[in-house]
Amino acid sequence: MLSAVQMQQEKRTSRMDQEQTDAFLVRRTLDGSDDAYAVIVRRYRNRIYNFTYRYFNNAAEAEDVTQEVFLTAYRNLHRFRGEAKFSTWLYQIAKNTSINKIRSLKRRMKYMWQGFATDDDGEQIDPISMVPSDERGPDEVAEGREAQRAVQDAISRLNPVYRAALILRDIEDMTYEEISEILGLAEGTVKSRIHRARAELQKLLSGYMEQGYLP
Amino acid sequence: MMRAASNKTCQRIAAQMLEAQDGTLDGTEQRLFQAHLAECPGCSKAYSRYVSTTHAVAKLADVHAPDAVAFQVMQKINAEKRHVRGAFAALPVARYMWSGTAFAVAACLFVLASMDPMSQTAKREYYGVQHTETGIDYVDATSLQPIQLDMVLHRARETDRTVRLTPLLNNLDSHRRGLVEQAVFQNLHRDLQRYGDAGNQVVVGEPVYSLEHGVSSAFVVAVDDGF
Repeated sequence: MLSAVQMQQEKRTSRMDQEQTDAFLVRRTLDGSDDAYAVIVRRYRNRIYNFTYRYFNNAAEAEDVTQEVFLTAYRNLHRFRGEAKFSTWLYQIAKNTSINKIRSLKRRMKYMWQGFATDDDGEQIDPISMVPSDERGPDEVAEGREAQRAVQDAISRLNPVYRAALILRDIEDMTYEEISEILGLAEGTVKSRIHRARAELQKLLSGYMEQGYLP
Repeated sequence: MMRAASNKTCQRIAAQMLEAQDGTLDGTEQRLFQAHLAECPGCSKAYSRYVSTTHAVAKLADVHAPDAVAFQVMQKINAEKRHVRGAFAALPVARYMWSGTAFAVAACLFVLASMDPMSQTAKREYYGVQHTETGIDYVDATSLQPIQLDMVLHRARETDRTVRLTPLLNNLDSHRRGLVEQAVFQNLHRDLQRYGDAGNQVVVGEPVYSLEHGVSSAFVVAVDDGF
C-alpha cells in the first residue's frame, strides 16, 4: 500500500518515466533533479531486485542490497561515462554490492559460527547457504510451485562466482557480451562459468528430476 | 581403448552442450554432436537434463521489488544530502585550509558498515558523531580529534576489520583535483603513520567526487568490514 507522499512522487515521475532516455535522466540528476533519479530507480528497481533476490534467495537481503545499489549509483553517477549502457553499469554495481555483502556475511558468520562453518570435507561453507531462505518466497506466493523453490534453492547453493553469470544469462536473459562487461571477464570465461553453473545445478536438481518434479 | 576414446568423445560433447543449446556450433560440429547423442544414451540423457535445467531456471517467475523501495531510496538520498549540507554549512572554511592548497577540508563522514550488533552500539559511542538512519554517520571536521581516529582504528583492530579512508572531493576542476588529491593523500598517509601497526589495517580508497553542490571537500572515513 503506497502512502500519499509516495503516490504523489509516483504520479510526478510517471510521465517522465515513460518518455526519457537513461542518458537524459542521468544528466538531469547530475544537474540536481531528484525526480529524474526517482525515475531511474523506478525503471530499474525490479530488475535489480530480481537479480539480488535470485542471488541471495532472501527477500530482506535482496531489498537491502537493492537499496544499496541505487544509493551507490547515485553517489557515483558522475563516474558514469555513458560508454556502456546505464543498465550494464547498474548491474556492475549490483554485482559488486552483492559480493561485498557476501564477504560481510562471511565475516559475520566467522563470529557466529566459528568452528562450525565447514562442511563434511572441511571446506568452508558459503555463507549465503546459511542465510535462511524465505519460508515462502514470492514465487510460491504467486504460483505455489515447489519446483521453482527447488530451483531457487539450488541456485543459491552455487559458488557465487558461477551464480552471478548464470542469473544474468538464464534469468536476466543477457547476451554474453553484456555479461562479460558486467563481470569484467572475457566472453570465453563467462561461457565457461555459465556452463559449469548449469552442470552443477543439474547435479543439485538430479533428485527432483528423478522424481519427475522437473521435466 | 574403445572405452577411453568414448570417454574422450563424451567429455567433448559435455563441453559443447552450451554452444549446442545456443545453436552456435558450426554445421559439422552440430552433426557430430547429434550423431553422438543418437548413439550414446548417457550423453543423450545428460544433454536433455542440461536443457531442462536451463529451462527450469529461465522459467523462474520475475520477482518484483516492494513498492516502497524507490521511495526509501529517495528518502535516504535526501537524508544524506541534508546532513552533508548541514555539516558543511556549519564550518568556518578558513579553519580547514591546508597550506599550499586552495581547498577546504570541511567535514568527515564515518561510515560504519559492520553488520554485527556490537558495532551498531559502537556507532553511538564515537564522540561528536551524528548517527543517521541511513547508516552513515557524519562528523564535523572541527570535532575530528586524534582520539576519534584512534577509536576507529582500535575498533578495526578489535573486530579484525579493515578501515577504508576515502577522500571526498567536490566541485573541483580536473586540474585542481590532481593537486587536491595529492595533498589529501600526503596528509592522510602522514597522519596514519602515527598509528603504527594499525596502519596495516588501513586502506586509502579511491577519491569520491560528490554530487553535492555548494560543498567543497571532505574526508569520508569509512570503516569497512573487509575486502
